[in-house]
This record gives sequence, C-alpha cells and structure tokens, in this order.
Amino acid sequence: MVMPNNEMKQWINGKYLKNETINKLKNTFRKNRPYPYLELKDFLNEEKAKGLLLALSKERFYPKEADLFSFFQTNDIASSKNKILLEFREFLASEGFISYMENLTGLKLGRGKIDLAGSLYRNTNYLLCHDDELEGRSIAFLLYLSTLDGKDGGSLNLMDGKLKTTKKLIPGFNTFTFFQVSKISFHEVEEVVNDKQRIALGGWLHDK
Amino acid sequence: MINKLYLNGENTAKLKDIFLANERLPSIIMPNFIGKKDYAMLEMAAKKCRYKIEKEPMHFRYSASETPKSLAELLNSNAMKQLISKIINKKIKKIDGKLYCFGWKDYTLLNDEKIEKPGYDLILDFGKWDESFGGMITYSDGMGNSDALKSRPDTLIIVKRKNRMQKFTKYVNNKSGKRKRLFFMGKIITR
Repeated sequence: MVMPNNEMKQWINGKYLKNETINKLKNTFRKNRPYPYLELKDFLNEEKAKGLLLALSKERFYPKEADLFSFFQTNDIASSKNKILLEFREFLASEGFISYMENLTGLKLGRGKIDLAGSLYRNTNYLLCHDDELEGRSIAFLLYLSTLDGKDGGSLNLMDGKLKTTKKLIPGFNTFTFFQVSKISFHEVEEVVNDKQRIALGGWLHDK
Repeated sequence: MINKLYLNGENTAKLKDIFLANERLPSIIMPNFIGKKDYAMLEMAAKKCRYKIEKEPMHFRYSASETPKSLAELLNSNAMKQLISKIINKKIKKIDGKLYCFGWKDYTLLNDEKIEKPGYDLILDFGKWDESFGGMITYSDGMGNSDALKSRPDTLIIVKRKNRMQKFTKYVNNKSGKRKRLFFMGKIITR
C-alpha cells in the first residue's frame, strides 16, 4: 500500500490515488493490447488542468516539419519561465509521481530526468507510424488539454506487430495517456482534418 | 515530341550550366517539355493506368503502375537520351522507373535501411497539383538541408543525388480531397 503525499493529492484526482483503483489499473495496463498502455480520464484536479492549458497557451510553439511529421511544439518545458508549467514538470519528476508510475506499470524508472514539451496539431498536422524507441525511454506520456472526437482526426493510434491499428485513443481534455516504449510500441497521430486543435503536454519517463 | 528549344545545341550547353549551378543538389527544371498535343496524350495514358497500392507503414504508402508504352518510348528515345547525356555529361543506358499516384494519406519516408546510392533521378509530372496538399518530392542531405521540388505539369526534372542525399515524398493531407498527383519517377542508368 502506498500512501499518497500532499503533492500527489494537490495534482491528481483522488479517485486515481485509491489503492483499489491502482490495483485495477495495474492489471489493465499489463493486459492492454497491442502493448501495455493506460488512458486515465479526468486525471488531474480540474483547476490544475485548466491552469496548465492557460499557461501553455502563453508559450511559443515552433513548426516541426520532416518526412515523418508536421506539427507545432514548444521548447522543453525545463527552459520555460512559466511557474505553473515548471511546477508541473517538477511534479512529474518527483519521487511521489515516479513511484506512482512504477506502481502502475511495474517498470523501474529513473529519477531526475524527464522530457516534457507542449504540442499543437492543427488542420493537416500528423505524426506517421514510428516506435519511439530511443535509448533510455521507458514510458511515453501525454496529458491532453483539448477535446476532439473521432471525425476530427488527431487520435493516437496504437498498432500491432503487423502495423495494423488495433486501438484508437481519442484526445479528451485532462486525459492522461501513457504506454510502455519498446521495439513493438508502433503508433501514429492521425492527421487533424478540420479546424479543431489537438493540444497536449507530453514527453517520456526514462528507465533506471 | 520534345520541345525543340531543348534540342537546340546552344541551349543544351546552357542547360548543362544550369544543371551544375546548384552545387549541393545539381538539378534542372524544364517547363513545357513536350508539345501540348503529345503531353495531353501522355497524360491521358497516365490517367488510364491501373495503379496498385503499395504499403509498408514504416516506410511508404502510395499507388504505382508500370510505365505505359507511349511514355516508355519517349523516355528511352534517342532524342531523350542524347539530351540528358549532354546535360549530365554521361552516356545513358536507360531510364528505369514507374508511374506514381499519390492521394490523401500517401507518403514515403527516409529509410536508413535502404540508402539510395548516388545517381540521377528523372521526374515528369502529369496534371496540376497544389503544394498546400503536401506530396512534394523533397531531397534531404541528412545535415538539416532539404529542397522540395515544385510540381508543374509538362515539366521534366533531372536531379543528381550526391553522397548522403536522399529523397522522400511529403505526406498528402486532407486538403487534397479526392485529387491525385500523378508523376513518373525513375533513375537514369548511365553506362
């Protein structure tokens, strides 16, 4: 049994801190296919999520263009001057949160290192199929700060070993989505096909 | 079939200079390459081809077809070989490629496992295409420099790929609707 500290209670919706819920989520994470992932709706206390969206809207987004992708991204939040974003980054890197993620995923995670940036997908933006695998990356995560529905595009598509989409995760405000990075964690961000915006804070937690 | 302006000896010498002027990506773009009537005939033949989907999500997705006879004859005609030979200063054995059809969600990616050896590419577009749809053939030197080629109907493009220079075709986005970009792309095989 893990007792959540005050910082955890300040940030995370209480229902996700109950041992009973955590035990269920541990099982779900392990059993989910095509590879372990979780999608936690209403993850943060709502005021925190709203605060993050407001803070992120003040950051500068830069166009990112290559063969594989087209979208907008902020610099790593570590270099931001925004207090709220820095506090969120500090929280994600905290012993309490890393232990919480270790508990949910059963993975051993490193301390002190975290990648975190804001991303923005507008009409025609996309990220094609890739696996995210890079030395040290253990968990890829996203906190969505906008809501889309199926017809808007922008879903996170998880693909099986034959590169067929077997799970579509549609962005919803304050949904925290993460998956285990491995040689088979093939995924893509479907093209946004209208004027809705897909806004998220995302990054990677690293292994020990 | 080829525009006589390009077959004029003096002009051909200028084409060679233009081709070599871009040191990083030696290339030449030749608009109005074929007469209107012949181009319309080739375009019709390209549109009538049966395109088959080719897909490896980690690398590419597009449709392609064998080159129709009329186009293959033009590409491998003596006049064509002589013109290209004068521009790139190499003897030409043949032009080897196929017709591509790119629509919404099609793309090719750079692939570290299939590095293209240095050589010469030849591209001939059929039909109009808007750059805002994506689908641009883009050359990248792996050092952060890239050149996207503009797509124009009846325009022949020759590109020399130097060491490390690789190409990809940018993802075609939803703004393309049901439109298709048709083009021939192949390698110039030298002797």
